[in-house]
Amino acid sequence: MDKITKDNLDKLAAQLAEKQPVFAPQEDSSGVVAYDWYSGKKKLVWGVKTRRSAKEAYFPQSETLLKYRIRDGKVEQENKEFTSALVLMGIHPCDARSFTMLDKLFGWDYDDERWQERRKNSVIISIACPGPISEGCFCMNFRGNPFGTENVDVLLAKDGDAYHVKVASEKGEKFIKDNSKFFSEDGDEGRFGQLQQKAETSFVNSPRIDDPDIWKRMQQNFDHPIWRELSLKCIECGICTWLCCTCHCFDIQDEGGFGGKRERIWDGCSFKEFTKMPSHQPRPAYFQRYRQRIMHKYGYFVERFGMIACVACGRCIDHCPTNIDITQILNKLNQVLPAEGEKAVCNE
Amino acid sequence: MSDIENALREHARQLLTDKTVKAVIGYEKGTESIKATPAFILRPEDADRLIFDATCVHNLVKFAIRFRGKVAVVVKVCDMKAVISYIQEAQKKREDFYLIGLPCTGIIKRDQMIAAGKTKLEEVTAEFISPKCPACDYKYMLEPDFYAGERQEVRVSEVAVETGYEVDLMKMTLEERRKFFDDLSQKCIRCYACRQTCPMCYCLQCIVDKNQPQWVNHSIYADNNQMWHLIWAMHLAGRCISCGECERVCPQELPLRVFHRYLVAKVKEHFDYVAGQSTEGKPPLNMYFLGDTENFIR
Repeated sequence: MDKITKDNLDKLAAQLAEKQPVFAPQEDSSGVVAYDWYSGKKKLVWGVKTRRSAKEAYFPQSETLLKYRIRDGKVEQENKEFTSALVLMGIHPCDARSFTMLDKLFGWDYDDERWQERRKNSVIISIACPGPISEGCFCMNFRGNPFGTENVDVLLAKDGDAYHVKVASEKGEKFIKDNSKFFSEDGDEGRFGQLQQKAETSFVNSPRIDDPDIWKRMQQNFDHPIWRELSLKCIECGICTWLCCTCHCFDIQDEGGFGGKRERIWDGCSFKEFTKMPSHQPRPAYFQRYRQRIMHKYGYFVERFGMIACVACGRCIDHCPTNIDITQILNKLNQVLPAEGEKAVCNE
Repeated sequence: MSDIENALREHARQLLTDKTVKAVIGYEKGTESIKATPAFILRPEDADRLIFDATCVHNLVKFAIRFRGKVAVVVKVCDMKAVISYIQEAQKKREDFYLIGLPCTGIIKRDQMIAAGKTKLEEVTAEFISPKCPACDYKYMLEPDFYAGERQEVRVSEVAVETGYEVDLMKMTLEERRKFFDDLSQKCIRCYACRQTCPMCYCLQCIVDKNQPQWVNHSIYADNNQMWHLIWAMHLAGRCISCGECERVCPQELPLRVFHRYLVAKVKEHFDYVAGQSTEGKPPLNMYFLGDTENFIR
C-alpha cells in the first residue's frame, strides 16, 4: 500500500494538468466548492462535498457537437473534436457510482460516443468520505458506501495530513506506477480498513428510507392523488436536476441561422417546456413533472435497467429551496401506496 | 411551543373547520437542522404541524396564486409587499387572501450558519441574521386579517438600508462592473431557481422559455447567461420588493441582488417610488402619461 501527502496531491493535479484535462474539486470566488477543469487559478479543495456532481466531466451542461455554415445552398459541417483522456480527481464514491447508471443509459438504444470514449479513457481517483459529509448524505441506504470502489481506479482515505492509497483497478495500478514519485510507502497496512469501518458505522444511525424496494409499487399508483399533495411545495426550479448525479435528460438545439452550432444541453423535468412537442405538452401540470422525476429514478429506470437511478448523494435534499426531501417523499409514498399487486383508488 | 405557534395553530384549525379558506399555507419543521419548509395545511387535524421561528425564511405568497379561491397565508412584514404587489398588479384580489400576520424578529442565513458549524437555533447571533432584517420597521403595509401572538411595536429601523453587502455597482468603475458581471455570468448554471422563487416572477411563460422564436439560447455560455440576468433585472425594475429570496436559493451563491438593489435605488431616485407600499397606482415602468417630462417617451 502507498501513501500520498496533501501537498503531493495538489502537485500531482498540477503536473497532470500540463498534459491532459484534470477534473477536480475547486473553490470559486463565491466560496462554493465544485468540480471544474483545473487551470491553476482556483484553489483545490479535497474531501468537501462538491456543490455539483461529477457527471459534468463526461456530460457537460452544454456541449457543442458540431458547427455548420450554409453557403450558396450547401451545408458545410465541422464536427467538434473532444478529448477523451481525462483524469478525474477527488471524486466522491457516490459520484463515481453514478457512472454505472449513466453507462446503462448512454449505451442503451444508442451508443453515445462522447460518453463512452471518455468513460473508457479516463482515470478516476476517488477520495473516501469519513462519514456523512453533509446532512443530506444517505448512501448506505441505497447500497452505496463511503469507501465504495465502484468505477474507481484509485481510492484515497484521509488520515491526518496524508491519504492512504488503495488501488482498485489495473488502470489505477498503472497510474500509480507512472506517477510513483508523488507516492511513498505506507507503513500502516491495517489503517485503511479501520478508517473504512469507522466511516461505515457513522452511517448506521441514520436509516432514512423505510422500504428500498418501494419501486415495485410505484408503477401501479401512477394516478394516486398523493402526487398532487407531495408536489405542492415544488417551485419548479432546476436545482435538484442540475445538481443530481444521475439526472441525464438532455435536449439538442441548433443555435444560429445560416451559420451556427448544434448544442447538447441538459434538460430538467421541473421546467415547463420539458418534453414539449409541437402539438402539445404531455405533462402540463407541475405535479405531473414532479411525478416524472420520482418515477424516473425509482420506477422506470429500475424496470428498464434493474437499478435505482439514485446514489443517495443528498445534494437535492441539501439545496432544495423549499426543503423537499426525497427520503421523506419515498417514506410518505411507502405509507400511502397499497401493497404490491393492488391498485390504488383514485378519487380525482 | 410558543404562544405565537399556539395562536397560529388554533386559528388555522378554526379556519379550516369553518371552511373559510381552502388551505392554510404556513411553515413546518424541515428535515434538516435549522430548516423550515412550506406547509400546506388542507385538513384541520394537520394544523398542529405549523411552526414559526427564525428558520421560516421562505416567502410563501407565491404559493397562494396556485390555488383558486380563498387561501390563508402566513406573512411576515417583508412578505406583505408581495401581497400588495399581487393586488396592485391584479394577480389576486384582496378578498382571496386570508392574511395571517405574526411578530417576527428576524430570519437566519442558514447556509452561513451551517458553514460556521452552528446547527441550533439558540446559537444564532447578529451576523447570521438576514441583511434585510435590521432594516425592517415591523409595520404591516396592509392590515392582516388575523395577528398571531402579541402585536409588535412599529419601530424606526436600526439602519436605513440593508447591511452586509460588499458589492455596490454605484461605487464601481466601468472595468470593475464588467469584471463583476463576467464573473457572475460564468458561474451561473441557469437553474432558474432565482426566477422560480421570485414572488414577482409570475409570468405564465417566461421569455427565456419561449422557443418559437427562441429569444435566448439555452446553452449556458456567459453571453446567454448575461442575457437572462439583464432581462430579469429589467423586468423587475421598479417591481422588486427586496425580499432576498433569489440570493437565498442560488446554488452557486451568486450576488444576484446587486442589480436589483441598484435598480431599486434608481427608481426611487427618478420616480420616488418603492414597490410593495400601496395597492393603488402602478409601478413606474409599467405606465406612461402624456404629460411625461422625458422626451424619449413622446
